[in-house]
Amino acid sequence: MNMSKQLNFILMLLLLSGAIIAVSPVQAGSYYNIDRVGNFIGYQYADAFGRGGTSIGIQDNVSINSNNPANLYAINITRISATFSSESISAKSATATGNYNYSSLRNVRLSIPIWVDKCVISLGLMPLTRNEYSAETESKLDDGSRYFMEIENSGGLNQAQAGFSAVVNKWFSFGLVMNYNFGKIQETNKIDYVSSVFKDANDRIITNIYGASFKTGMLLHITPDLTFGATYTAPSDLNAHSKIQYTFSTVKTLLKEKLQLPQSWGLGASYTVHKNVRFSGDYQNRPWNSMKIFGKPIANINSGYNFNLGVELLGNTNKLEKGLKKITYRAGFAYEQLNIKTETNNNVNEILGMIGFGIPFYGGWGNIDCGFGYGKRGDLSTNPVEETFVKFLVNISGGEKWFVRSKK
Amino acid sequence: MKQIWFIFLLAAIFIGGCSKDKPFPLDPNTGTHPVEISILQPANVDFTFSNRLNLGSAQHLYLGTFRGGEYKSRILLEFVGLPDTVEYQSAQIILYKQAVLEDTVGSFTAQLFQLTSDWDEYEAKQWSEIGADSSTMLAESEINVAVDDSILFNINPGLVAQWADTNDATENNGIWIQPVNAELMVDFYTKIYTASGLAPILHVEYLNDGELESQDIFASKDLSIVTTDFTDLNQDRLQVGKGIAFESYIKFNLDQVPDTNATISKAELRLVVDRSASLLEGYGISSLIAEIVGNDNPSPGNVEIDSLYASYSYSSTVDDTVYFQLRPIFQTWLSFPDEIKNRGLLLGLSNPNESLARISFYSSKADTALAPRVKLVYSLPPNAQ
Repeated sequence: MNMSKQLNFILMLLLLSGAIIAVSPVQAGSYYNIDRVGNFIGYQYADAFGRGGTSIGIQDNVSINSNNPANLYAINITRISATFSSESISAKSATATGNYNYSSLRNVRLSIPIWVDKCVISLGLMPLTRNEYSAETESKLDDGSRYFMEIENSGGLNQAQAGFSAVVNKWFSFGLVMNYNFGKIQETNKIDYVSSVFKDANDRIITNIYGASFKTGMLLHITPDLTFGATYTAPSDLNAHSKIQYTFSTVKTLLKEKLQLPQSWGLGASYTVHKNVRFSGDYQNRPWNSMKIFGKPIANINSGYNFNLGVELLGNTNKLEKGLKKITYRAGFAYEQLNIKTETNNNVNEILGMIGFGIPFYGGWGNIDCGFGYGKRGDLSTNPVEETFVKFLVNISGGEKWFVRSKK
Repeated sequence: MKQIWFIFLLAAIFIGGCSKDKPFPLDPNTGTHPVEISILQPANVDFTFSNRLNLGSAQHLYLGTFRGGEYKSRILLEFVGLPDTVEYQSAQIILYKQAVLEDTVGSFTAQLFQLTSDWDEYEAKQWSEIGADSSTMLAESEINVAVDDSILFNINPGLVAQWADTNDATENNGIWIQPVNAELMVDFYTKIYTASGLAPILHVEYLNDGELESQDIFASKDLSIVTTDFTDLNQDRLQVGKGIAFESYIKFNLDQVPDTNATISKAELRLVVDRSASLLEGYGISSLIAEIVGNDNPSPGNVEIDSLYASYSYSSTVDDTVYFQLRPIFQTWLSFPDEIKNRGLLLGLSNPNESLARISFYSSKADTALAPRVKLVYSLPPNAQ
């Protein structure tokens, strides 16, 4: 790669990184983004999304999937990838319906093999939680005075990642990712009265969160076709600096607190039959019910977990092969308990069916992966809002040979 | 590297396609809605008391008795600028009727006496402050309120001559008038009405160089003094009034609001009028005011005012219930007690030294439907939910 191409490469990386943060606050998301830190964003990669969200036990030399940082070691060229997502939500409550779209640049990632097939370093930027949410209702006081109550949340936590993946022997690899978590979460509660006799309420909390955490993972090749992976994210104390703007005061109240982000862990496995059919499954647990902010437990935060099952018909990697045989086809299913509890102390669950495909281009140096999902989030029998949604993720990755001397 | 432009293209499509969605219509039963509460005063917190005022700037001169003797009023007058080189032949003091309080028929006798010491029409409040001779009646007259437009006293012209003679030992401190067995009260015009000729007049006739002349001399000082004692007030009612400046103290605690950062959207004080115990019609009722009390442990006669806060224009012919909008002070009491502590409110009437008007409200001793009550609407901030 010459110097100008490298500059373009870095410039693009910076632009896309900024876009992740800049684009997200303008849209309304799921009702279940309502809790204090937002809802955990589980599906970061289009290829994994197409096969039900599985990724912990899958070794891949194309996708820069750091869900298990041990899996990246097989990437043998410098790769950059970006994932975009779009979600259309149809929500209904007992009395109302609404439709929402949420599109964003989901992540941008870079991986560089510093020792081919032995060690890869990776960088990335992605959202961890999203708090985009807006809802309102009209109601009346006892004397008939009408008012509108509006909740408007925006922002979320993001992660800047830097890590590596290394091979210990032919059976075992491991990886480590350092995360710098940061983000701004703004919560606004408004009550607008129709009558001017009443003072409108507009309380706002703006919380800036930052701090480091790390995630580690391992991948075990029990046989060439059977792999087993595990991940562990250590608990971390994040700094949370809040400015509270109360309706009645022109002075912002400042609070400096710790946001205690609990540990999480995951297990995954994959098994490949006939060299081209791969089954995979994941389980991830996020006991976030112990999360605290402002020195006290966060209302409505719940432990989250997810089961993911997927199957892939792998494309032929032979560069001489042509046509549809090079395409990888995927399908999967996911069940997730969201990290939120309703005011009535009920869990909120999400079920999702997915399909996807991956198309290599430029002789395998580049890859486009797409995943489509249709699911349901919440249930009106126990939850205030039930959402059906269609989610679409597309991931584009390209590669260059950096730091690799060409043979003369 | 061509593929990176695909990334740019897709990013532009996604970013360009972003638009703000409408808020989701929440179920009205979800979320944190405003809270409505009614606050009543703790027992025996409120009280009413009287504060006798000077009526020198009032546009009324009250003479008589009414409300079964609850109000008794006398009049003080002084005339200056009397010619001193003439021979007085006759002298009459005339007061013109402005209105009659309550009963519009009936009559009573009034007696006129001399004042023995100087008095300040803008300071004097109580009869005990007045130097008055009640042993020698100077004149007596009767007024029939149904037919008479004025009351006229014939006084000894020699007394006027003594007043006019600065060398005479008899000082001119004016006269005072008291009702006798009156069961009604007459409101006479004050010196403010001099231009229209309705002010109290001393009409004199005298010989000047042998010629008979007359002159109308308008009162230079006038004053009504209510002589009734109001020290033992009925605490079943909260009174605000003029003349005798009835004032009432109330206090509502904010313990029911669970968070000092709550937004108070409305704080409405409701007072229910007891018309039978009020003096409303035609007695100069104008504006009710509420003032912030500045001292701890206030008691009757020991209420200090921090600042004027709220007012309410009272329409006596319509309102049986009075509402004060007190949101800002309740918010301050709740959220900034270090700035202004909740020590209660003092209710009164604006310009209290102008008339005898009085409004009685039901106190905390009354049924809760009638007792003073604050309706509070508040909402809790996000971090308190």
